[in-house]
Amino acid sequence: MSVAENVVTEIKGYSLFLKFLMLLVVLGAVASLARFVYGLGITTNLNDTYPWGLWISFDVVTAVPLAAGAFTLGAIVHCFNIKKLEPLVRPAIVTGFLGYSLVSVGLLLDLGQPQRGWHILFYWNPHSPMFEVALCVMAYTTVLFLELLSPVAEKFGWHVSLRVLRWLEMPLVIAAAAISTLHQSTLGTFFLIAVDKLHNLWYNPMLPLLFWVSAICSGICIIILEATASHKWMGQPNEGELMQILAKILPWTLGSYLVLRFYSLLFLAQGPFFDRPLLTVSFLLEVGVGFVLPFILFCRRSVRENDRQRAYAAGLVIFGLVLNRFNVSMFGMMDPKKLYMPSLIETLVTVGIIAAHILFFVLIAKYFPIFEHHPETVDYSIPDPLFKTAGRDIS
Amino acid sequence: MRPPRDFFRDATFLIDLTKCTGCRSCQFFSGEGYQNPPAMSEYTFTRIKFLDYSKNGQNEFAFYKEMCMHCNDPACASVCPVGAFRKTAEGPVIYQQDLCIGCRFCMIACPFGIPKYEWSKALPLVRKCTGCYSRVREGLAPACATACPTAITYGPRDEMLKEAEQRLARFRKDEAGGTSVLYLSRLPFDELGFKQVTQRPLPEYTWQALRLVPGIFVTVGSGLAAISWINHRKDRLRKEQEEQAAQTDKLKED
Repeated sequence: MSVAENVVTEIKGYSLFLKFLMLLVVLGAVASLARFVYGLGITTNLNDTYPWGLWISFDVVTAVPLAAGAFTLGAIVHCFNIKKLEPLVRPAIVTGFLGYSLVSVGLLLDLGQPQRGWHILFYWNPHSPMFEVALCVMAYTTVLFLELLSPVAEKFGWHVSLRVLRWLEMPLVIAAAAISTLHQSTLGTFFLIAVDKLHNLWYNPMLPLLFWVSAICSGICIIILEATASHKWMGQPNEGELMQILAKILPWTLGSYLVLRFYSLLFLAQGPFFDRPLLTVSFLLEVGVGFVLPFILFCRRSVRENDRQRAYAAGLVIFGLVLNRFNVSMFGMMDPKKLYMPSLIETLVTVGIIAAHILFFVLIAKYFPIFEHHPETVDYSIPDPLFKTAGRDIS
Repeated sequence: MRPPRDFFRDATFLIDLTKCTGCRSCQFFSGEGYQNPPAMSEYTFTRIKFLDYSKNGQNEFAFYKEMCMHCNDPACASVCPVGAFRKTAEGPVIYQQDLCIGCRFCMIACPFGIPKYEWSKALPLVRKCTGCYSRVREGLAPACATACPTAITYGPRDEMLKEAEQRLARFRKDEAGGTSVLYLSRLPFDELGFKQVTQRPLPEYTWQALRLVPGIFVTVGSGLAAISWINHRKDRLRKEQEEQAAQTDKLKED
């Protein structure tokens, strides 16, 4: 059989769910093609009043904190040395890498001149938050790629690269946390320039700090959701005990977020706050259901120890985070007289990107050892003296 | 960030709305021709808006010229990731289209909503009033200022300020940290449809956060490195102790 035939038979064996995801990805790809053929004006509902829409709000501003699991967990496991959580690290890195790659895809679609993306590297403007985020996303995607190489090297038995990667592990983890701190917060800085445009409920000078702390909360919650889902649907072992440890951290991070949120609202922001009923509802949903409720839930031992309740509580945090990012980047910036709704093509592209994320995650988990990773069992030694290994490869 | 400079000699538009007759010559010569579009767009860099109001039972008109304000510290230039916008030494804020990657951050940032996008194109660029930089560089006044029969005076900022104070009307000069377009008006500006804009230069809003970036990077990096070094050292010491204990046990057995 040829390679192509092999691939076809392999794909035929996939589950219906995976095939459905593939359909969504193809639809998204076709829709993004339409953007390049017909231009942004026709294919999207963007205009001079709403230069940024769904693609920036979800694919960039929301997707980045959703992919924060990798750096959060990396720092918890390696810097704070809670080695027990090691089995959760690799899935988190895969999610992070996919997340950031897809952020780059979304950003390139949204740019008017994507073929000039490299200009960022040559024409620096350190005063621009966008410049900072773009550099960080490039750097961090590279870091995640290097971290992702470990399971690949393990799978193919590249002993030398395994050694190099293990030596690089700590520097990479620290770089990941530092870079993430920068761009997670700078996403908030984006909207500091929107004085008099962003609604008072969300505009305050602490936006960058709030974005960073909420990204940490969502990073941990995404890991909980992901581990629960892969146990339920992908037949992976139940990591309930490990998730309990993570859930114990959450009341602290959520608590500090809420303190900062209310402090900035009461003392740093300027009213009027409740002049637009829809935004008030959105704010109450975001803070009440998305942050206060899960904070109370995670404070309870019974919730932390129950797999199902813990996952629901984590889901609430994700809901709160997504709503918060949409409130800041879309709803809170809207002109009540002229509303923005994403077009069909914008929606298809974003759905395609989400589908691609899940699809690639399942496929990577299928072919590479990301769940079965136990660091103590990996053979880091180089089997032969170097020259012999090389010699064997040639013959 | 950038070296502070004073803007006193910057070429500045003094637009006396009390003298504007609404003839739209500025619009015509700014490349608009005979069209009179309802809003600013990728094709319209300046536009005369008018307000119909009554005073002492009499119908009156007020006109207002919408255009790029050529800020002293432009928000568009501060947010552009590739630095495609530049406040020139002469005064106009120009857009270098060869650098632009099309991210539209300038449109989000501009407090006056001036940069417009070529929505109809597959690979769009931004469009905005150039302050006729090519003319200004050669010592000429911009097209709109040349065409205007009554209202626009063009010259160095300090002279324009002096002139404006002499005319003593409602006077708008410090929006967004000062602009190279000054308006004189008989009516309050909000009645003319001007949006309330902060007097602080907009780039300061983001810079107060962004200036911390290198410090945060170093702090987080070295902080985490120190924490992990301490934690791993604890591990190593414990292991060494255990090994030593095992060795002494072995020695005792021997």
